[in-house]
Amino acid sequence: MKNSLLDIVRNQARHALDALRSDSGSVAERERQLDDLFGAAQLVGDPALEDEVRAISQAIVAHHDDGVAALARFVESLQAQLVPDEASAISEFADDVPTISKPRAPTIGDSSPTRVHRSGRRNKSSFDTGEHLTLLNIFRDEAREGLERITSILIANTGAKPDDDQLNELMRLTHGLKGAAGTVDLPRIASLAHEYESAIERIRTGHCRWSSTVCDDLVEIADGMHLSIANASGPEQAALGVAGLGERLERLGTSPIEASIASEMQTDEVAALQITETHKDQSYAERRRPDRRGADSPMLRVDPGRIDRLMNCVGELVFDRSRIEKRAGKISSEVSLIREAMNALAAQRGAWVESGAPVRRDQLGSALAELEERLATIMPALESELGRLSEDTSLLKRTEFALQDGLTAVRMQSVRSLFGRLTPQLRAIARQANRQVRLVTAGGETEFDKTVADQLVDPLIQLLRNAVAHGIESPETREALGKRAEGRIMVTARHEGNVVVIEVSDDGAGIRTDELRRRFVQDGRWTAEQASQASDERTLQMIFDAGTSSRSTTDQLAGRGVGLSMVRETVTRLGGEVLVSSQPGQGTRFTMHLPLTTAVANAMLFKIGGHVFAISNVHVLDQSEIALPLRETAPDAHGHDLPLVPLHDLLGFPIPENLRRCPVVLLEFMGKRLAISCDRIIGTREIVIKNLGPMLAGISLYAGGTISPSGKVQLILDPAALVNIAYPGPPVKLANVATEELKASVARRILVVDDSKAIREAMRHMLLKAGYEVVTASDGATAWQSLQEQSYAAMVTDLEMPGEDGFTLLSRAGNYIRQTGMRVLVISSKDTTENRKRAESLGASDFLAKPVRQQLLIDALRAAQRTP
Amino acid sequence: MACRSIRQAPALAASEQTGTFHSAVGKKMKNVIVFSIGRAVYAVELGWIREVFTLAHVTPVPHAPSAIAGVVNFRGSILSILDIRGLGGNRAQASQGESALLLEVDRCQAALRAGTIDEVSSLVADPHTGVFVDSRHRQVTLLDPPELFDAAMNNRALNTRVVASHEE
Repeated sequence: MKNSLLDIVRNQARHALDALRSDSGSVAERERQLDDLFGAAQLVGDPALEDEVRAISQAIVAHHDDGVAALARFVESLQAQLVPDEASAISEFADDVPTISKPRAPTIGDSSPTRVHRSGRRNKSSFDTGEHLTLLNIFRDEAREGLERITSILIANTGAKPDDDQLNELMRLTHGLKGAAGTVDLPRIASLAHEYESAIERIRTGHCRWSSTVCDDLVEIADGMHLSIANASGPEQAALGVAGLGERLERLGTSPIEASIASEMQTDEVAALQITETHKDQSYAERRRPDRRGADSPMLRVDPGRIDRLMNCVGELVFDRSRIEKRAGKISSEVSLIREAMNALAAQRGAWVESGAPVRRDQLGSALAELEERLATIMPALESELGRLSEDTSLLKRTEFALQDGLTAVRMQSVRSLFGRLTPQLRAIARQANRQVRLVTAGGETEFDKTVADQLVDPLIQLLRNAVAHGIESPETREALGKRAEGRIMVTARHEGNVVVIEVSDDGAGIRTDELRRRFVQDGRWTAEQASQASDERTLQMIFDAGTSSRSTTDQLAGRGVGLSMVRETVTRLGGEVLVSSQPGQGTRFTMHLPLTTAVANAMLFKIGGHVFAISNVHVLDQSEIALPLRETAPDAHGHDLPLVPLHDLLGFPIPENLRRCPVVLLEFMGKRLAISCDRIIGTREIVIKNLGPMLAGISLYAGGTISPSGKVQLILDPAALVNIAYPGPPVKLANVATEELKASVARRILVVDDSKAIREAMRHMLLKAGYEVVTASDGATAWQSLQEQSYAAMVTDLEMPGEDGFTLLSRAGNYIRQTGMRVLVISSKDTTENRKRAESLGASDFLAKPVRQQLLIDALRAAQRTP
Repeated sequence: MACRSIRQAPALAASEQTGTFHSAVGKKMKNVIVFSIGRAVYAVELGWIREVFTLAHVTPVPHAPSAIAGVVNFRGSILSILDIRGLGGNRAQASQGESALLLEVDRCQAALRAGTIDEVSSLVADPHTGVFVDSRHRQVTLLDPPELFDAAMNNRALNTRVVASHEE
């Protein structure tokens, strides 16, 4: 590590020397060189070095030639110091956690961290800044994949030289990277990739001898590239990041003497990325800002199949709309019949009025009878059309769900890429802290929402740092304890119902709760009594609270204070939870529970009866106050009276005694305005919307729930229900008969999916005999189509089908199955535990082995339909 | 803050978990958690129980069926809290700190207020009366979670099983 930093200092010093000797640059230019040199020296973190550079600079300013001579000597001494095995001495940080910084070029005496010097000669890019940034983002993913492959091949060969195939693969990968970088106009990265390729070639031909050091170097350089590209917020920065690496490639495997400085890769900036910096000065908020990572790419890479699903939904929408349009047409013709009847009646009445003669009872009677008859014929037709309209809207709703699902799926990415970002970080962290650690991951195929994934990067890295800095012991200590010298950190991901569970566990020293207790008492956070009464669990959970001890103390546990509270805050903000458990001497485990998707909305929060409720801000017009006692209306901003829904009454809470004026929130929904009263308006907040579960889903008053930062559930009110209360109208009675019949017919309908015609027909017969209605499909795609067209009580599907197999169908229909409650039975000729488990996890109610016997099938169907 | 698990119930073997739940080995004995609310003693078979935990902050849900005594945050999910006594129409409000059983039926989870948790044990049906008794020979009402969930949602009373039926 220190090598690369000293490398940079040396190059910088050389540069400065050249500039000073050549006399060609301006004074300002030369001063800048010296500034950069000092900056480089500061990055090394060695005060002696800084002093030396400072002295040289002063000498140059005071007595030019002496100073220059001193500089030359400095350069030489640096040359001599560069020995490959020099262990990094940058490890005062058992306590302070290193972070990776933006490139800094501080000047002497000036501590502004973000000034960047521009070099004199710079290649003009052919894209403008915006385009270039977009291209960088596109390149990022590709680079990441390529570099990951490269490092994994290298790591697999630390002992022996990779064989020819592997070397060719490496060259192919770097060559590809070079091409891609060139295409998106990142010439310096392309050059570096070229250097890398040459280095591999030298290894292949034997010019450069393979050794574990060479391997390490290559890995480190690849990591350096990876990190710089991933973290750069722009192409310039990415290029800066890789600046020092070209030289190292040239030096690969050779003794550490001259590398030519004529390389085009020299820039005037100082920007090694595996720099460790303790950010005592930077405020916590700055450090935590997610955009500093630059990895928040606005682009998504999506599997085209998911886009196809969306297209299908859009197609469905067209059908749904035309169905509803036709229905509207039919209703409208019924309505015109009514109008005709009305007109006839009006005409009759008019005739009577005109004639002036008194109307006889039988005349009246027959006119009314005729009207009644007309209406009697129209009404049933109208009612049935209205009934079908409600069906049409359910179909529309289903399409809406499918569309939503499809969009959600588009945003899903597998956790693997998240894991991928962790590995190089962990290597860097471990190197700096002088620990040997291996990262083991599992569950990479677990998928969740990209925004959630992106926001987990920081917390996960924080947890890794923790594990390395405070968990994993040094190799010597570990061996003394009888553990493997290499520590292991496991990061796993899995689904559990609606949540994704991510665990970070290490086999390090664990957390000693007695020490924590002592610490908390010492800090004044707990009294001695509290400390003795607190359970181990409670004590452990305290580590997430921001420490009372300030960051300036170099105490082991204080360093932990800020980072972990950031972790908890992020996880809670995403609607999840983080827990910790630990065994002293054995290790620590952090478990994060996160919701699968984040439906986030802006909401207005208010308090009633001591409990907080929310309503989506979209519907909120205004807020005001009215005097007590509450009347039936409340005025809006223009003085119009809006119906008032007294939430206290509605929700069953008493109005607070000392309330003088009652706050009201004015809402609008579907064109109807109303006011709701409350105790206190809290304000707006971004909330994660969660559903209340099937037991409460039917209550029209609530649209869902959310979890407050303190972990309490808060109910979200549904404006539709409030409108119905404020504007009571005749409830629309739909033809109940139609819906009951519909329900009954659905309950009998089964979808059978199997690629074998014989099996399909056999099952059809079995099911028909038992009184079911059967629809068959020969493959997953057709089955999916059928599911869109009608409702089924259950689906029986084969697993082994060509093309889309049963599992694929289940995955695709996952949300559909959950939402409609359709039962799924899986049939397979491979009755293995794995298949069963997988089927169950995908939503199957039962698993039958082939050959399927009638009785078993019927029993299984009946059982599945009985369970709620 | 968060609910903390006190115990995790032993999970059934995978094969027993596909599809509908099958009773514990040996029809006559049922492995259950026994808890009492007031003087009434109840039991739930272990296979339905995911965890035993303590309720964190409970949020009341006005207009919910009477059997639902509020909702609680459990590891980021919002769980309904069921109250057996609420099935009769007397709504009660659960509160923080109470013991609860996390039940799972068909991937749907809910918390059941569990008053005082007495023990994990096996229930046997008394050979003469057919009534389930626990280790202290108290008469125990064995609850059937699928039915419980259904009754809670539809606001109806339970057909409680106090007596073992003939097929068992």
